[in-house]
Amino acid sequence: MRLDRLELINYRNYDRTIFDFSPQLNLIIGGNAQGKTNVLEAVYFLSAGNSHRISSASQLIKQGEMSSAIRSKITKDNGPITLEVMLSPSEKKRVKVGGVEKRRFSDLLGHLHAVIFSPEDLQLVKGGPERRRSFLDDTVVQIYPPHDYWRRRYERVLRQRNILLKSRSQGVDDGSLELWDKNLVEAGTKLVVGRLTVLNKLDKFATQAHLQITNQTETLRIDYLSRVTSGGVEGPREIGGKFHKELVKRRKDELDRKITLVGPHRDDLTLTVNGADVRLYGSQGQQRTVALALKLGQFRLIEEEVKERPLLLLDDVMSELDDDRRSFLVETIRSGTQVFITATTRDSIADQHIGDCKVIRIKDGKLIDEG
Amino acid sequence: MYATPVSNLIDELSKMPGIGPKSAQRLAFYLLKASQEDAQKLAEAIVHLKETVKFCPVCYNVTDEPECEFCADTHRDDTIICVVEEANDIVSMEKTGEYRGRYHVLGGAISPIDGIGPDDLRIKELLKRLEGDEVAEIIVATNPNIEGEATGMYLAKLIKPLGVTVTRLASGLPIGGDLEYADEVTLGSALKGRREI
Repeated sequence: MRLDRLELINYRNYDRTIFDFSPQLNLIIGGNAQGKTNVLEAVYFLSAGNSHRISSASQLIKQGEMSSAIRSKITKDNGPITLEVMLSPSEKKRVKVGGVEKRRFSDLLGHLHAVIFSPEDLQLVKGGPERRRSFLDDTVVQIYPPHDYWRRRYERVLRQRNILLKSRSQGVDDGSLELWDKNLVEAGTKLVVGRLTVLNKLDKFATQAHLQITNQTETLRIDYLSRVTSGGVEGPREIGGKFHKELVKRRKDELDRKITLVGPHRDDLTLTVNGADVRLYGSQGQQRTVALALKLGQFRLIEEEVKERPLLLLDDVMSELDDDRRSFLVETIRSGTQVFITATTRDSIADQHIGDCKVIRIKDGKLIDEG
Repeated sequence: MYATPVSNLIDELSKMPGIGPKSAQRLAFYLLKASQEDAQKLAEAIVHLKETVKFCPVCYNVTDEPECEFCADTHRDDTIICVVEEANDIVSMEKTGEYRGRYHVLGGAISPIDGIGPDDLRIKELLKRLEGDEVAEIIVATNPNIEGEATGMYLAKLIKPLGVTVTRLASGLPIGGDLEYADEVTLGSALKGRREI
């Protein structure tokens, strides 16, 4: 799949700019804070329905403007399609697919697939569990869009339940918690099942990539850490049953501590390299390699599942990687992948030739096209 | 930014559901340009609404009569009550032409986020209507979101022990749609609620 054209309207620091892309390599060159990453962010937004940097869509609107839009023309194996997203701080996010306005914003998902590599990826390994959970959930959504519905539904029940817990006087069970349990368990089980199904495959691809980067010397292992499943071959019934049992068991704890203690919002991924937890014991270099392997795994998983090659967005990572990892990444980009790279100068990637290259120069939210 | 009367109106308008600051601004400027007569009519309509329309003392539907038309209608089935969140949900139910029972308007759904608990809804009033033994079934027609479902569950817990049947509207496929176009979540819900033919 490839992105032929992107139009940004009142998006971040862009007034109205149209980008025409090469089907192969696109180099987006510009100084700091000129709007390079904003272009990749907009492309990623079309694939994920959210930004890889911030959670509130209203921050994507140019200052002083009431609304913004991202328009695109995409070519997939089965033909061309247009995607259009409209953002406004006071109204719901809207989406048009093929020119037709959709009832739900989530109808955006599943059309464009993209994987983004950015300097923040290291936080996948070093950061808190929520980073790893959203990485996994974002991956599931790309290949199974309904996961997004269950994710948002779970978050909503969880919020209702936590606010209820906070408003109760400590330790008193008046039966009101129970009203939310059924939906918490239902949505939570869907979340866990989606995560486990995808993790099973992601593990395979990421481990493979990790072995290759480390010249077959280091074995990566990813495990799902949860109170509601042991991660094995359990089906929805077992997971739901265990989830519910655990909720009942921890009821008193929850009432005392006034927060929901059981569920996929507390789950995590453990990343081990040659048997040692890389988050705790890995060197900076090992942690970088694991982060890279996770993203490469995600890329290959999406490619296999959707039967089309996702777009590859490399946000300022070329300078972050050492020579070995950089050349490995470039080798991975076989012909046929559409790549978008941001960099401050052309030199940083001059020696890497990936195919036909289009240079796009950006200054202060304006395009200086060089073809 | 604007003269005080204008910004006052914008503030008031943007309190309404579905009206953001931008729509409020547009409406305010429309009213500014409208004739004195049109503006007067709108203002009077709002005042008249608040003065004359009251809640029906039986079901809490909105009405300008002593009782709402559905409670006053002697031909309706007294053994069945359809419970809805808001009065405008009654209109949707009536449009189906399939329902001839009574109604009860809760005035919302349980939602801790919005500070709404069971005591803020007209549930005591509903229980009072069940005191005679006439009512045999309660249809819970709250919205199919988690708040509507929690409210339904709360009602079932309260009402089932009284020997009244509690049912919930089915959720699933839209009529006239093709299976192929149904989204996975809707289809999954329809599958779960399938029935024998």
